[in-house]
Amino acid sequence: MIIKLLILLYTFMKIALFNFGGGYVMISLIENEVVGPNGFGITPAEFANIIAVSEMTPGPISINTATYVGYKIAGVLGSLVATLAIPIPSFFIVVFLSPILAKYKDHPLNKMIFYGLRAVVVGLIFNAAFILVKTPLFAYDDAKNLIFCNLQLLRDFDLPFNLNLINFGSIGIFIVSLILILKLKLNPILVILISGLLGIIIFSI
Amino acid sequence: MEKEKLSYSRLFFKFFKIGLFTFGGGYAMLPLIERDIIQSKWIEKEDVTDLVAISQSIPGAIAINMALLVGHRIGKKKGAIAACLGCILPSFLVILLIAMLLSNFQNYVIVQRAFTGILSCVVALILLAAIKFAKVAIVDLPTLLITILTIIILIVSKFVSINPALSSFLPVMLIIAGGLIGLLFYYVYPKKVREVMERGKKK
Repeated sequence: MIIKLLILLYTFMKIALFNFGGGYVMISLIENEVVGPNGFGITPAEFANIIAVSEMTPGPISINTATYVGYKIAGVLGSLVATLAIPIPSFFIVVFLSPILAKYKDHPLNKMIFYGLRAVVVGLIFNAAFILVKTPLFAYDDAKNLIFCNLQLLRDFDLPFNLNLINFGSIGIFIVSLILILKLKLNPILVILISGLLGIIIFSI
Repeated sequence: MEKEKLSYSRLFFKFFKIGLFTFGGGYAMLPLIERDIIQSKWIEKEDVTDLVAISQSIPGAIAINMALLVGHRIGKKKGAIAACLGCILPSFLVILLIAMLLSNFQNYVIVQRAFTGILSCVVALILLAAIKFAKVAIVDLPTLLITILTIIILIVSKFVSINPALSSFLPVMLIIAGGLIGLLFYYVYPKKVREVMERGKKK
């Protein structure tokens, strides 16, 4: 158990230390570490649920995700370790490098590093969306009983994408969400609630 | 407005409040933190704006970085810890509660259907964030190529089996590679450096 917690601490500190560009980048980094047999064995479907909850709840998405993943892996202690691991690298950077940071904030060298780094960050955010799309949760046509129940079955479901499994209800809700956010300018939290209701209605038919 | 009285507990509760009531992650929290700290007059307005810029240029969670920077400016190490814990605690408690409850409710079909719907919306939100970020980050041909290459590498890595140790460092290596390309440009491509600096001034 102690070893598991130490690995969890190391993993989330590593994720935090190399995370630039906010919570959506962290989705890519966390998925890469915890989902699948090489990680902590969290299934793609479980991970998708964790992201959905993190997005719906207040606070930083990365902290929400870390808390939830930590809980899944090692209970309350695990969630405590994963959550506290995220600020540790930043804490040391702020405490020891603050004067340097302020001085080089507008230095061309700093600007150029971020010129290259930000372009990678965009790719990682698109990857975060792709991670969720390729989960059976989104792509399976029989979403009614697959999300939480057959986790064992989903563990073996490792296809990146399968056209036969596209779930048209999900695509419909995706398009409606885009319209509500872009055209009607609704608050994203309201749109999340609406999409939840739509899910209940559409997948009950 | 009067300067607000200062203490570790006030610092803690200011960030606790923002952490508890702000939806939409770090980027949504940043302007609220900025406004609150300026209103409290704990830090000069220009300095707060500087901290906002720095919070995005150091690794980690943006809102947490801002809490640490503000806390450190006001109360050194203890201030940083107070602000940071205030920022984290609401998330931790809310998620823990939901994680415990959801393990009881997740087998209800209606919960599963709701989640399937919500996930579509979350994908839309992430794509919109990606496009918004792309507009700032993709400014010329090299940055466009870096983004496309990143996406290709990430997708291809799902298809081919690579060494697990290597694969766990893949996104990290990509981020470092992006920074190194920028660094390389700094030394060999002075024209690009001027271009990037000019663009920065216009904003």
